[in-house]
Amino acid sequence: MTTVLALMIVTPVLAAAACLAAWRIPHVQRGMALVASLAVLALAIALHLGVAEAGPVDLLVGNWPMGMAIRLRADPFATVMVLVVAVLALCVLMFATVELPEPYVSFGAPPLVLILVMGVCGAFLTADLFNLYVWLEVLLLASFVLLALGGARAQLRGGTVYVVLNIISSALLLTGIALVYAAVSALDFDVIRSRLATLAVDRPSLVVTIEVMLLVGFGIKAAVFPLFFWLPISYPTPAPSFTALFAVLAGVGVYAMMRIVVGVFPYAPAVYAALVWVAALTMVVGTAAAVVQARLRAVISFLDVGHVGYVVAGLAIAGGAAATSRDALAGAIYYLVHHVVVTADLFLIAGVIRRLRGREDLVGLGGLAHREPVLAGAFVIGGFSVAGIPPLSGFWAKLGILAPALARGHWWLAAAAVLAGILTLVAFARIWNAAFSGKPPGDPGPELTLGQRVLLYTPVVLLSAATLLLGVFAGDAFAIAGAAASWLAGVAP
Amino acid sequence: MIYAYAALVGLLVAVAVYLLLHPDAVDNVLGLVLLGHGGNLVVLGAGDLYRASAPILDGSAQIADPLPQALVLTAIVIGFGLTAFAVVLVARMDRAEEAE
Repeated sequence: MTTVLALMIVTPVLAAAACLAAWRIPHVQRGMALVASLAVLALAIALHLGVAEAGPVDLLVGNWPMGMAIRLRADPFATVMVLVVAVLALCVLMFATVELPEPYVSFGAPPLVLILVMGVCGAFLTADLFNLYVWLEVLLLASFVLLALGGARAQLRGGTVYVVLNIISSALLLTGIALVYAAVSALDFDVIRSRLATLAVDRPSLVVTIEVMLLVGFGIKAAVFPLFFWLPISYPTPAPSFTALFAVLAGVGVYAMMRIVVGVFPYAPAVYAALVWVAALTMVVGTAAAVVQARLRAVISFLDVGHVGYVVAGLAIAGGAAATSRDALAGAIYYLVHHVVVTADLFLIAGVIRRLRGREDLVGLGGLAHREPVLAGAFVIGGFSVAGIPPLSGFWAKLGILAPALARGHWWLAAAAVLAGILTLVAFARIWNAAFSGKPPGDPGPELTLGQRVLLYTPVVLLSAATLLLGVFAGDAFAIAGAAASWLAGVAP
Repeated sequence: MIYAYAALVGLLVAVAVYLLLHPDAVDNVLGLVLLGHGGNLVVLGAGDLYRASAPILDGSAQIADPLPQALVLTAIVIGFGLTAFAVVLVARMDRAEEAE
């Protein structure tokens, strides 16, 4: 299993190198990237099944002794997230074969996507704080280039904001990591955890200060309130395939927050209390801003922000001993998976709409429900899922957050979650009214060939089906999330 | 020594914040560079740099922890890459604005 774990990172980077060798031949690049993403998916499935059966796998890179080596660790939380990014990469690359203009491909978009996938896999699978920072930089650099590819003015503006905010976040992270090392002389998650436990008794304020520093750094990447402003400025600007791929990036930020808060730092009530506020404000502000946006992908970007808040809410109410935090953490993990899948789905649907109508502001798109019933169906499933209509995954995800919130007496947080759900539904009603119902505009826009239709709709339908299946088999999914939550908190389920 | 070192980091970060709050994009990039250097110095300082000799094993008693020095090399390389990209982005922004 350790070989599979290593291949999870090696495969995408080798494939990216192979793509670079075929720099001038776009078809070969596309084909190789698709094959590589299939291989990554197969590896991710193998890793997930292996870990689910035999427990977490550790790989000490270079066979250095534990505590000195950079440690890769595949526990159920990591393997589930790797599986999500593998599915997402395959969907995006398939979508991009039609959606992405030729110049983008010959400029190296497929290898960049693979490098981003490598960075995300590395970030999920590492158990070393500095290594996590390095993987975040790898995926950020790839995303910088993908974001700016095309070079339109809005892209450059959004890209600048994205780059500046993320470099600031990286500087904060680096400082936080240095302070961790200065305090405990270790970078391995488990070693830090055991040494901080003693330090937290002697100098609790020092430990909380370092933790907050790291959380602000990861919080910028996760786009939580009040650090989210870069996301809605930059995400609507690149080619829609890339926006869909970026749906996983905020997820990486939240994932890192969960690892740090639950898996590395000792329990600090003040941090959890602050996270409750962060979660509530993220949910309400994000979804409320989504309602008033004028462009399709801006609406979905703000929904991305708002719904990351639910994951943070699950984390915030999880405080305390591992035994009592399991249900809330399981809810957060299920929500995170649901969120990435469904956000990517919506971004891809927005990409199809842009392709069909040649624009994406919410006026004059109308009439797509008659012309593209498959797209309309996928949108209804995706939209209802985000809003939390049963039996789709969004309903169970919200239930998984609301039930523990109410059980612990977090009434205001629960109220904020319900309000955000209603605002989400309003945002979707606006998209539906603008794009799917009503009269089509005078210029019907380009017709799609059958081949294009298959390549564009397969990923969309696949992701919509995934949210449906996550909802129908919610019991099994929550069992996996529960096991992942236990391992995250450092105990075998 | 440690206080002078901390003051230097503080100065770097203060100037970085000042430059980041400027409206000019080139100033902002310089601010990012200085902010990164502040972070790098903190990493370097985590290795007891100011109390021990260089980490070369020659039998002498107290040597500095070499790991932060390895970490800071990685961080410098990453910071250089990020800065290079930011500079290109700002230059492209400028050209796009001139074209209008």
